[in-house]
Amino acid sequence: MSELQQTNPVPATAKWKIPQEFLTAKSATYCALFLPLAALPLLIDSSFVYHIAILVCLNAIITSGLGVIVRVDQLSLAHGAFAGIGAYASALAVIKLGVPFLLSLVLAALAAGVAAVLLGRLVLGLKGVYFVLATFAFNELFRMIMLLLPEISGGTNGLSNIPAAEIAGLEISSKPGFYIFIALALAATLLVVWMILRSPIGRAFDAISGNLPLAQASGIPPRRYQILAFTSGSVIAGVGGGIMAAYVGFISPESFTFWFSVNTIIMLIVGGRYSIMGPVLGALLLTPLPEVLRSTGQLQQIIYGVCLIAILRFMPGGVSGLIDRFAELMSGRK
Amino acid sequence: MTAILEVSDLTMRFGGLTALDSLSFKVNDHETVGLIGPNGAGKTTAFNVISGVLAPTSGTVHYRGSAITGLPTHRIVRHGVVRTFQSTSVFAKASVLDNIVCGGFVNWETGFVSNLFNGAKTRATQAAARDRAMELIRLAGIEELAHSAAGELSYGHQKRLGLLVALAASPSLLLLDEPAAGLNAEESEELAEFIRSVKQQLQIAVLLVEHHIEMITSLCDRLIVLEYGRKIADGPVAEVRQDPRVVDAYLGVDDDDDA
Ligand SMILES: Nc1ncnc2c1ncn2[C@@H]1O[C@H](COP(=O)(O)OP(=O)(O)O)[C@@H](O)[C@H]1O
Ligand SMILES: [Mg+2]
Repeated sequence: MSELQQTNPVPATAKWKIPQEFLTAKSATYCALFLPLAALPLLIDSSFVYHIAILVCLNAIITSGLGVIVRVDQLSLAHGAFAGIGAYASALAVIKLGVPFLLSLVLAALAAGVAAVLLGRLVLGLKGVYFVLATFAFNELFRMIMLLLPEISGGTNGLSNIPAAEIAGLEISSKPGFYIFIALALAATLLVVWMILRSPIGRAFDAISGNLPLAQASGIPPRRYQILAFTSGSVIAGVGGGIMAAYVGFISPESFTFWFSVNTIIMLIVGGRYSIMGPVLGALLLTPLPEVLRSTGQLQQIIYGVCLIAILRFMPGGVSGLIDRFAELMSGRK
Repeated sequence: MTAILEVSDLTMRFGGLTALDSLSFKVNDHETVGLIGPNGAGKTTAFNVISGVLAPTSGTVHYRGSAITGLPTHRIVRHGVVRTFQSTSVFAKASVLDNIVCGGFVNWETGFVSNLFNGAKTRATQAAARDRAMELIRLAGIEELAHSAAGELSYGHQKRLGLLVALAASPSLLLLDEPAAGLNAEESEELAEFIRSVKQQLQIAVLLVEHHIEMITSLCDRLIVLEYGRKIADGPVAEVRQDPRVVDAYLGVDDDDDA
């Protein structure tokens, strides 16, 4: 065999070492930004602040899932449906079968995952706008099917008797308790997304979105990775939906319309779709906005739209794009 | 010599246009074959069909005895057939090194769980892929560019990177679609030298589409000439170059000043 085809022995690496990727100016900037912010609600200790903080975390989790899906250049308008599938799976498991809360989230993940694999196989061959339309249709289909099955879904009345979340006999329905739980859930979600994206799987995602013909010519099976991205992202949405059901205590088919998907997309784009922290930033900026803008009435939608256009036009990397640039400046690179 | 690639009766129609018309030819192990013909003759289409980008209207492609007709590209790559693109094609945002690592995907595909937890197997294959990419970079003599973004390279360097990305997939048959297009005489000479040394080190077969006649003459063992999707000549370079039909159809008219 020629010299070129030999593979070199791999240098032994220490088993438990903080991965290099953690120790960057970027991650330092995000930690400096978010750790105090995460502690803030506990210090202020107001029910309203807890409520907003919980919604921010919930939106950040769900948007993170969409962030994985767009890595392979697919924009899903079915994200709301997958959150809904997770929400109903979890709520029904708790109500009808008395399943513990955490286990019900596993069921939510499974239900969303199975649905995503099935839908993914069907529509992931579609290109660009056709894929977007197919996912839009799926979201509407989900809503309609749920409305047609009132015995399961509660119909237009929804399910309103969802018991408070309980972990190991510890009720976490109090606002501080639920906030700590959901903040940890968000941290876990971000960790999983980080693990996926820094791995060879993430490399394959980037290759597919960067140059599809070349990725294929390099032996990367695009469908497999597109389904993987779609399923992982939809599973995250499903878990988010399950948590949402437990927090709000009420879900109906109207909770998961296609507007749910659209709002998730907006949060992702505003926050920045190229960064793991983008969804958190997007949720942080946009979740409180309706509360803040409530007094402006109809103007709310217009302000929302103008902000979005401005961001699309001037910061394609979203807010996280700005922070990344700031971190690069701080670390002395140009 | 044994034939590794066997193309039989390949026809490719786009609506009313017949881009390939019952094309049959073979490529032997370790052989370098030139596939030439005027623009629009169907050379790139032949590559697209062989590499699985297009499914042919009819006909078959066999590689080392297996039918690969109509398989998806990523599976054909696993048989050892790897192609480059006529236009530059790189992962623009990634570094040169990462481009080549990506090109070697078939060598570092590890299990999902190992990947997710960056397990020993994943670390080992990733390190091996990087080492191999560095070797290819050294072989091409572009060490100073290893960490530059591919999209910022010059046209010539991007063309060469395309070749390295393909080599990273460990081909046994390399399909090169106009690798010297747009390069000046000196650069083409360098590229020819590079292809020669790669061929010699890796012992692979090459199917080369090119217009630079010097490059073809210096590299190829055999020439196949296409015109309107049909094969009009197939034989040793010196012989084909004398063939009056070939001179008429191609060589005599437009030499190497194609776009
Ligand atoms: N995807 C396609 N759809 C329609 N026509 C095509 C396609 N690809 C190639 N052709 C046509 O097929 C013919 C052969 O093209 P091509 O294989 O690119 O030629 P060459 O590479 O020899 O210059 C041309 O007439 C071209 O316009
Ligand atoms: Mg061509």
